[in-house]
Amino acid sequence: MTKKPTIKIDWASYDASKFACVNWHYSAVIPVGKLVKVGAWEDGKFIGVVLFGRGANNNMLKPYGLNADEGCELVRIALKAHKTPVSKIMAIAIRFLKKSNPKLKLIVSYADADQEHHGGIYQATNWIYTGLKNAGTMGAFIINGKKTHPKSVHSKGVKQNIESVRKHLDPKAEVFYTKGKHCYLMPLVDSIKDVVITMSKPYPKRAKEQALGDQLNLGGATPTCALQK
Amino acid sequence: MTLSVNYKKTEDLIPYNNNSRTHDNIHIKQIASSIKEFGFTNPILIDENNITIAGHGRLMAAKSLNIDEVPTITLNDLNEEQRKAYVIADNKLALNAGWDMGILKDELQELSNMDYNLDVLGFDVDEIKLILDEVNFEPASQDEQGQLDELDPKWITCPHCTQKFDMREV
Repeated sequence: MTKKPTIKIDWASYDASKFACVNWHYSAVIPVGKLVKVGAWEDGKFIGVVLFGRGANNNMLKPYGLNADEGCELVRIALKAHKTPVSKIMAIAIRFLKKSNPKLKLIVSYADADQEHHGGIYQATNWIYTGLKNAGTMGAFIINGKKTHPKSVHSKGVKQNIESVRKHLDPKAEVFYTKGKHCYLMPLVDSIKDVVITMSKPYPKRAKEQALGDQLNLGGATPTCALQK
Repeated sequence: MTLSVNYKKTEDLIPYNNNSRTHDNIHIKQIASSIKEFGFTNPILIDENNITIAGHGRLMAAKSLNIDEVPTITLNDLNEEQRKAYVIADNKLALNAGWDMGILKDELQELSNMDYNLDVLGFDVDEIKLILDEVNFEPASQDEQGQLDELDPKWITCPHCTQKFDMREV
């Protein structure tokens, strides 16, 4: 019988978090801004981080009637190959976060449809699904063949429109229209649970399952492994 | 097509004008280290006019090492379109290969145990540490974390009366 691995959740440094994001997350970058960095150690070895932040959108919590200091976004799960289920690591990390940030009432997280993610991890841990956001909107620019976030364009002093991008960065640049992001909510207090439960929608299926209809009948949610390299 | 290796003067070889593959200084140094360690094991592919088809990086590294002559193979049988295409294909096809990370880890570990200099393999130090699973981080303190259930003060100075106020109190 295989020995069950020991898992330890503790605070992670910025360096450890950056390393995990760069090497074990598809985005290969650590988010900017204020972060709560929760690390995971399996059998004494560092295996990655779960990061929480304020989120890129200032109005993220408005639909739930919350102020900016009453909720946060789960911004990264960056883990290398490991034995402990991701959902278990995430659940302990959330408990850890809640202990140090007791006034938080809600966690928001997104599964990137452009990466064919559907949020299997969130489904496995009973998050509330509220739908696909921003589908069909401008998600990025294709500059010199590379998908580039509008914020990177802005940081180069170029306006975030295709005309400016073509004028200053790449005459052949194109707009990338996003498939959107699946939005999931994890209420941390009952009062918010009552609010967000009314917004609940049926869980989306994995892209391939969706294409095949219900014939596969795979059942249950399989945590996405695309979060790892 | 029978291939023969001929040694040609480095200075006589001409880089292809429209070579789309790039080599930064770090990459050239890596190739140079490899040449110093293993010798010039991979001939430069050229056309009948000494224009490089494949091996621009090796040519640059040879020049950086002041190597007078390098092995070359002349590809006479390619037409113009094929030459143009092969300049790209030679690079791209190599990029499409993958790694068996388990075998790579074992091989690197063996070389490391033999005290072999892993710097000549083309991986940087961090990559090797990552593959050998030598990367570890200790837990940090809570002081290094942000506090997400509290807003930081946001001081605004009124342009009229110059009085300062905290936006959180508005």
